[in-house]
Amino acid sequence: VLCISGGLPKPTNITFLSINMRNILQWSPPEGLQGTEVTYTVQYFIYGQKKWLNKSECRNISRTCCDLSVETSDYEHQYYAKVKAIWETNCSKWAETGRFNPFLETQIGPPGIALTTDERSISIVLTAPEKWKRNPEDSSLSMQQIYSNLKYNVSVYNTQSNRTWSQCVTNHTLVLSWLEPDTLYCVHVESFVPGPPRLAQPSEKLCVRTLKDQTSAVKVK
Amino acid sequence: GLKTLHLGSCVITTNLQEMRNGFSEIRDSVQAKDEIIDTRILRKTESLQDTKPTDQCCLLRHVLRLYLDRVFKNFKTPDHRILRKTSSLANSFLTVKKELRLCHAHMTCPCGEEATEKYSQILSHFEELTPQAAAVKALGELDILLQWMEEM
Repeated sequence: VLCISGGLPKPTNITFLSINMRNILQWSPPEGLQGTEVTYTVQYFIYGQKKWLNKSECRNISRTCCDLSVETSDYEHQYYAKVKAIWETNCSKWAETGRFNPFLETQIGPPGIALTTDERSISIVLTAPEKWKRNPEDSSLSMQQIYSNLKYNVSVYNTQSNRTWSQCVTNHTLVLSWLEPDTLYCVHVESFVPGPPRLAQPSEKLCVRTLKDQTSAVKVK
Repeated sequence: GLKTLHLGSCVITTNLQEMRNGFSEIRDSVQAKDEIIDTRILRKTESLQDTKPTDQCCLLRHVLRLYLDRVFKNFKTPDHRILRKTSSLANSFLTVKKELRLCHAHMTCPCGEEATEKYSQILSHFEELTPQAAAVKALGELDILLQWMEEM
């Protein structure tokens, strides 16, 4: 596309939003051009290699995001991406990301949670989040396989006493004991990797009620 | 916490997480100074974890010496925050290198052909650049080196 380069301001806030290695490039429209029919073109670069590469599905697009998960799926590499705005015969200079390191920067999604309960305990079974995959039928790779030191921060809230407590676990099963019978408890779990801080994705809150105390029920009879 | 590195029969402890946290605070600033993005000094082909265990200690020892002698010394910046962080990282590297020297003294840090070849590759990538540009690039690649060490 031939256009006058620099005729438009650059797109702004260009960053990678990465969760479980699903890596989406996102940006904001150039200053002062919100609402106009601006289109965008994206390129990416593998650090240490030789040239910028096109992403054909993100050429002359009007949305302000581009999924580069396939192109950045090798997490032993680091990447750059850039985007430019095009409007009629004008286009902006490229707006470029910093060096993106998926291994260090991806947010670890929450685990799957299964709860079973009896009168005074709740069993929690966690399933590690999965790395993003291109096709559902592709084989799965657990984030645990990528981050061997993956841990979980389990938060438990007693809705009756309004008390919350948390504990950090590494294994995938956990039994909460000494609970109150017939009480609603809510659990949410966050995955994390020890090391430099990274954004986290807390899980949905899951609630379960402990069973009624059978012994007191028998006495009543 | 401390991390134990298993490098063949050389086993050392390091404050790896402290180094990673320290570097993560300056990573964006340091990497932004590296404008030569079409070359990389620490490449997958020369990675520590893909080196046979008996040669890992020697390779790491040489790479740490490169960082101490030619990266931390040559890295120039007016930013005192970055300077503080890099000197703290240099001290940590010095500590690790002393532990590796003990392994060397106890004959558990031999330099085989693989370590020698890989280190010479790393050095040639490094020496393709001017000293200052090489120092900036190598410092910006600390996340790679620390990741290699994390996997030991």
